[in-house]
Amino acid sequence: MRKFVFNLLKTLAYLGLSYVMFVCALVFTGDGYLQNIVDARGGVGHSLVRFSEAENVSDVDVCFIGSSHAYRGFDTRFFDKEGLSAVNLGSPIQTPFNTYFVLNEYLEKVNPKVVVIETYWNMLVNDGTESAIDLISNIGFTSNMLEMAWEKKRDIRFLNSAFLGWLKYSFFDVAQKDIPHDIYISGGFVMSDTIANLPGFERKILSSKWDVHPVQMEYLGKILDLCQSKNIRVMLVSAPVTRELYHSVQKDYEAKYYNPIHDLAVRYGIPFWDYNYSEDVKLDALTHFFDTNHLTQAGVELFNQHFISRFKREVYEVDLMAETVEEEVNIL
Amino acid sequence: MSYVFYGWWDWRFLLLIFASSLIDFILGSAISKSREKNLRRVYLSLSILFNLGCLGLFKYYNFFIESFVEMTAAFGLQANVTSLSLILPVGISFYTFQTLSYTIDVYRKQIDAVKDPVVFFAFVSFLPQLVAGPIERARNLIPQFQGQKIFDYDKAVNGMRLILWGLFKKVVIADGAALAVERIFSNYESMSVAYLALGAILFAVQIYGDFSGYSDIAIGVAALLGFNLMVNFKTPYFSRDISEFWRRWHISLSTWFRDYLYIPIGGNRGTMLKVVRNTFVIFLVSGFWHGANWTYIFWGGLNALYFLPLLLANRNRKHLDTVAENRYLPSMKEILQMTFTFVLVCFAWIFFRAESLSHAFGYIQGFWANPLWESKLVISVHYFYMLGVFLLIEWLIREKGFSATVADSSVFLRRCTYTMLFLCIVFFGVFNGSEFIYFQF
Repeated sequence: MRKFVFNLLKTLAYLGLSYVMFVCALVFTGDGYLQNIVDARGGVGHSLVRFSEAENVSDVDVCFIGSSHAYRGFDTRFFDKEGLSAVNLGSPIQTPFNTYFVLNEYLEKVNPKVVVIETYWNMLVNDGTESAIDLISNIGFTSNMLEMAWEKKRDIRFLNSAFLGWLKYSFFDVAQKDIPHDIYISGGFVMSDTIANLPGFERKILSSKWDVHPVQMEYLGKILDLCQSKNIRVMLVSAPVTRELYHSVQKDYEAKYYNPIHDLAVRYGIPFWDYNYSEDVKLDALTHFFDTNHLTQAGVELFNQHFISRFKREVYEVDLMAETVEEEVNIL
Repeated sequence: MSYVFYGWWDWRFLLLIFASSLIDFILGSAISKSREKNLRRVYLSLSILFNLGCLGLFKYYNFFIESFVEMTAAFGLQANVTSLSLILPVGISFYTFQTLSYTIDVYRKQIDAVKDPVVFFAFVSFLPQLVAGPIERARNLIPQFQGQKIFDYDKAVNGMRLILWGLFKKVVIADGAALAVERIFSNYESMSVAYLALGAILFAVQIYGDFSGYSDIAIGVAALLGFNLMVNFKTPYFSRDISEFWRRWHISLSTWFRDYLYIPIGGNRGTMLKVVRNTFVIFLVSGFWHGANWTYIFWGGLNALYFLPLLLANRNRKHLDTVAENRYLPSMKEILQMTFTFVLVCFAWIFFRAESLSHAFGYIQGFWANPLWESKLVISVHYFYMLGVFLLIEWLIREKGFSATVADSSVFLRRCTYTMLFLCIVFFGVFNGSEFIYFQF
């Protein structure tokens, strides 16, 4: 028995060493992408630049947050033109679980009047691991990120990637990579120079079983509590995707996604605008999207025009008027 | 310990396994004590009725009700029958067969009835193989509970090796294929012929990796505890005909059916017609054992049809050895034989995987209705590297099995194997908590 335990420990130590050596090899070869290990620093989504910029942003009118639908869907320049200062804190595959920690990190620094949370249904299905890897790789090992890491401690993809990231930063100074077809716009928006979806692409959507991850609904509630505890107005938005993608999940959409989010919004007394459910903006799959769910700049413009006018009318100005009324009442 | 493990899932079903064990313990003793043949037969019948009754109630009740309603609907009648929506107790198909083998063996006087209830209860609920087999025979497992347990170094090391190999097969090979299989089978209407074929092949890989992976882990854990469980799979996809495949696939179930069903109903004795009938019975029952769905029955029937030509030509025991024995590579003839058998098996798996018969036929129809090739992203290219590693190891271990082959190799090669499997699990494993497929049976 003693021999067995000794040899088992010896084997475990040997395997541990081989693990470290393998990750080191990935650091030096620069090939940091395998199924359970991702090198995300300076990668797609431009999180490295966005979150570096966010360190110096303060007192904005609107803060957008969520997945790629947020940072590719809300062009801060259109908001600036309308007199609304805006920042975009979206990042790739950012789920409510991740958003909670990002907000904890930046909410006080950015101090927005309104937080707009983009809640693409696919993000509620996701467990947040990939985004956690992206965030810790690009924001670094801050207390909020470590807290998020603690929640992901049992996820091998996260542990491998965090370890690779830590080793890599110790040896190299990594800058933002050039991502084909993407142009980063200061303020957090990423513009695509692709002008159209591939013909026929929208017909190849594979349907698969999906269910909202319970953790995501829990964290969505925590985000709303966090914003409301700091007296920051908050709203939920589902940015438009192609009708073909929407139709591929439409069977379960109301029951699994729309109704729970709508109920949550009603419970917190906040707006929830679903641009897929209501189809307020008519978008064409071929010209307004460059894939099944990301808008071309023409699509962004149409969507943002509609969003801004409604936002000013139903959220932002209503809020300011309420403050004015309140102030007037106080003066009287 | 086994009861704590089982109760963790749903404590209510502890009552069922306890009742099943208790009744068979009592009936086993009664059979053993009784000298009157008729009385012994009555006790055995009670045991069979109780066990198959439980299995029928929990596993097949809704199937019969729904089939009845569908049948009456086909004749324009509306049957108003409520189904019970019973939850299937995990492992019921396995422990029911295990405990049945005990009473039948006592009845046949092949073993003595167990006097110690703790031994018997431990035998029925033995933790490593409780939920998905291998289905052990009482004559193999019970004596192991009765003897004194002494730690065996070699056995424990072999157990660890099997656990590592089983984990690789489960989390890298089976779970790696699962998502692609799900995508292809859910979207078969829009899949090209190449992807439909890939879906069937990947499902064959998935179910083998999943189930044989579980069996290896179970055998490995049992070995750590000092127990020997029977080998459940012997590289079945390297079979040269369907008969050899069934001698190498889910061996504990196949031999159970052979010993307790096929031989009692006549086996290969009598006229050819009877032999054919017996073969169909065993395959159809085997299909039905897997689940309450017509797809499983069809799968069983299809395998019986595959078996038929070999039976009629009296060639069903032609390949009793291992392919390319004492050689590194197979001959061209053997490659063709293995490929042909694999294609047959994959075709049958389509029915096993499909949600309904119409789903299965729709899938098959796609082979001539859909375009030949259309690129779709269903699986990462990394997976095929893993599949290469898996196939290579499977080929190398086909004669002696994983543990013995690794034990016989040099220290350097052994360490390389452990390291490679460990790194594959860590960097390519899927850890999304997916269950073993055979838990549902």
